[in-house]
Amino acid sequence: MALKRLDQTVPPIEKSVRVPASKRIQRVALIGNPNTGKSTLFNCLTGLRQKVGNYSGVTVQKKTGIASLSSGNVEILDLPGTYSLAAESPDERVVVDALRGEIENVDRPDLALCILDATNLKRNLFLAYQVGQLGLPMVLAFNYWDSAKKRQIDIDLDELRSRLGVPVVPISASRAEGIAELKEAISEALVSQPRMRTPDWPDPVIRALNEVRAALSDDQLSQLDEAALLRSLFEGDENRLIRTGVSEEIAAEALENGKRALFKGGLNPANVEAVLLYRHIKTVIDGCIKENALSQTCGSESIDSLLTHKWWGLTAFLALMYLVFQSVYSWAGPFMDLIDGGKSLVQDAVSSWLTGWPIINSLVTDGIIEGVGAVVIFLPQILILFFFISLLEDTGYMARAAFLMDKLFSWCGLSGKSFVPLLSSYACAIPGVMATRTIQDTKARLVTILVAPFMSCSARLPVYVLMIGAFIEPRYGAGVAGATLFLMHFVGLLVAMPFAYVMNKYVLKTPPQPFLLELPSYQIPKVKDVFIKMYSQGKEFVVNAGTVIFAITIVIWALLYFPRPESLVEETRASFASSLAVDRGISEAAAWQAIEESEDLQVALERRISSAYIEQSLMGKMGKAVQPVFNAAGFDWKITVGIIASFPAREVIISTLGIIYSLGGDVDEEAGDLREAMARQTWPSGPREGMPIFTIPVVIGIMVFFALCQQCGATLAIIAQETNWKWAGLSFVLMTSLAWIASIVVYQAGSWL
Amino acid sequence: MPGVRVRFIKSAPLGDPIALDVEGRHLSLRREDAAQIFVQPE
Repeated sequence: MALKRLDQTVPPIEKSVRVPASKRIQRVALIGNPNTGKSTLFNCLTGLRQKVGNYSGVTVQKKTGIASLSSGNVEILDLPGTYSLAAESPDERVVVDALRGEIENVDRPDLALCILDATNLKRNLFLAYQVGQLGLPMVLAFNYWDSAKKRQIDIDLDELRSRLGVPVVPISASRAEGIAELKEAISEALVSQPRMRTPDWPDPVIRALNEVRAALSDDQLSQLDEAALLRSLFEGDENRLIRTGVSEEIAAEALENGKRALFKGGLNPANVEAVLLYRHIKTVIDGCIKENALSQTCGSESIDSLLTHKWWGLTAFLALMYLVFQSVYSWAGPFMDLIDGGKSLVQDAVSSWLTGWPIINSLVTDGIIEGVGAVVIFLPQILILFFFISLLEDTGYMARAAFLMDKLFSWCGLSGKSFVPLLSSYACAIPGVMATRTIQDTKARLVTILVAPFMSCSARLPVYVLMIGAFIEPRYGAGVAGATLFLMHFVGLLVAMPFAYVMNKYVLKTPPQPFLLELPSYQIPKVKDVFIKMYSQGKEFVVNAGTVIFAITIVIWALLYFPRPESLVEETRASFASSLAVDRGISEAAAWQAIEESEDLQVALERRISSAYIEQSLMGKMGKAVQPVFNAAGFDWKITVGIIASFPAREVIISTLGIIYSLGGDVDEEAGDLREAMARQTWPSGPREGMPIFTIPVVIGIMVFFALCQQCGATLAIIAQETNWKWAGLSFVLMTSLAWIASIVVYQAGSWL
Repeated sequence: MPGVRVRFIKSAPLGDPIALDVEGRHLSLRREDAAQIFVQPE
């Protein structure tokens, strides 16, 4: 609805007189503390015209959108929520750098739109003053105006405006109130360029600044404004000085002199900014804000006494997580079946039009349509998971969940917020990795991303079912089979925890971030925010990861299809007929006759031909070439082909084995034929000649391999999207080698026992 | 930050982290980080 209102604010004539082509679009940076309703305001201003990406080199999300103002379109840059500009985490560094225009390919904003929580102005003004110090034109939006009124907090806006020196607009973003006024204020401010009245720093600060200046040359000073010097002094950050060409020693000395001056003036360099700014804020808001003494009681605490209760809290948490997991796991099922069925229908239809062109037919049906299907199939799970995540976050429950679970995860570098992503990874790692966006601590987020693909996702289930059904159940009975299936779901988790510990301790060497989590007041979520989140996550997945998944599918198709010599058909037919003749003790001519008459034999022949094609395709040759690597794990070349073909998607092994064992590609994990065919496989030559290939150690080795291996192109694509290809590559190499080693250990130990 | 009033609310069911009321806001800290805060009883 607010979307419509948005469009109405742009009269049609405006479009022709908008920003002239030569002038670039004006940019507004949206900044605020966490939990101030920043995303809701961003959605109000931009609607669906949003773009999400990463800042180059860091795993911080970059969100931009277009807002229509009466003066034309402006680009809104949604910066990560932060309490302070003192750059400690990568998120905070991005905020400072973006506001100063120091990020490559990101121009300095023309205006800073600061959103503040009207019920907590004192603390929120701290960040606003820090931003004001940077010298950008500013507009302040006081959000939660309705709750402030309800809590009887009286704010004298006119007086505050004159004391702050910048426009202040009261809004209630969740009800889309005050948005039109805010847009008007932004339009005006882009012209009038109001700047915040910054505090007059006391003498010791001025003296300290002069000390720092004295150590620098004129040329270096010309690159630093007062704001930059102040931030360096307050944060004790030499890098900003070093970037202008100052040597490390001089920069350190300059700051040391500055700190000494502060100290002499009776100020503690470690907290000088906080002390002075809060003192200043106190004088600014004095007399402007009257808080009713009763306003402090909030309902959140009584809800929390239940939801973070020792027993009830955990029970409620487990129940909620069960609901989320069940929904992602089972509700998505029918939709995925629908997509799968739709895909088969389209494949059949297209295939019947293209019968005359076998290569094009196979490319379109097995390559292109298969590839599109491989992307779309993930959408139900992604959308359902983000529906719940959005609800959990917007209500404020996500912070409570992290509060409850943190202890379980903190020892290995994960955080309480890792729980939801890891749990959803049990359904599928794709939405799981995307869900790590709720983890603000970059390091904990990265570790969670690397660990998520270890969780036993639903695509591993068919592999377990096939192996257990074919070899464990007939031999040991249903009880052991069930227990094996259950245990297989913990193999990944057992490896993942120490893996996270090692990654955290030895690979990611950034210092640990202090854990600070705000438990915001409970809110009723806004339907529009929930759906915008689902839409943007889905769109982003299709655009970024989708293209990679599609490309991988086409490559694998080509590896399985080429080369395709004509002669192979005749050779296979001939050998099929002659072996039939031998089997039945009839002449070859009679065998041909039999094939002609029996549909079953014709189907068997067709499948034998497909199998022969795979054997001499590039993929088949790769399987044979790579097989020695898996020899120590007891895998033959057919299993190896299955493994290689499964790198884009692990469940592919079922249909690949089906084709290799001449059963056709449409077998499933319950198929008795496939189980029998596998049980019949023996080593054709070598020291193990004549012995069955699928022994128990091999079977368990295959399952462990599939449990640990990074066999999912889609997951790699999504890891690259969320971080970069370096981490995706590392995940691939580490997981695949772990899987390989584990399968060898299982086979060798199993054979020795 | 000197002069800020802090009230202990509760600790998480597993003992860590803890929840604090800092001037009307509820914050959660791990015990090792919270140990860095210098407090005086009122």
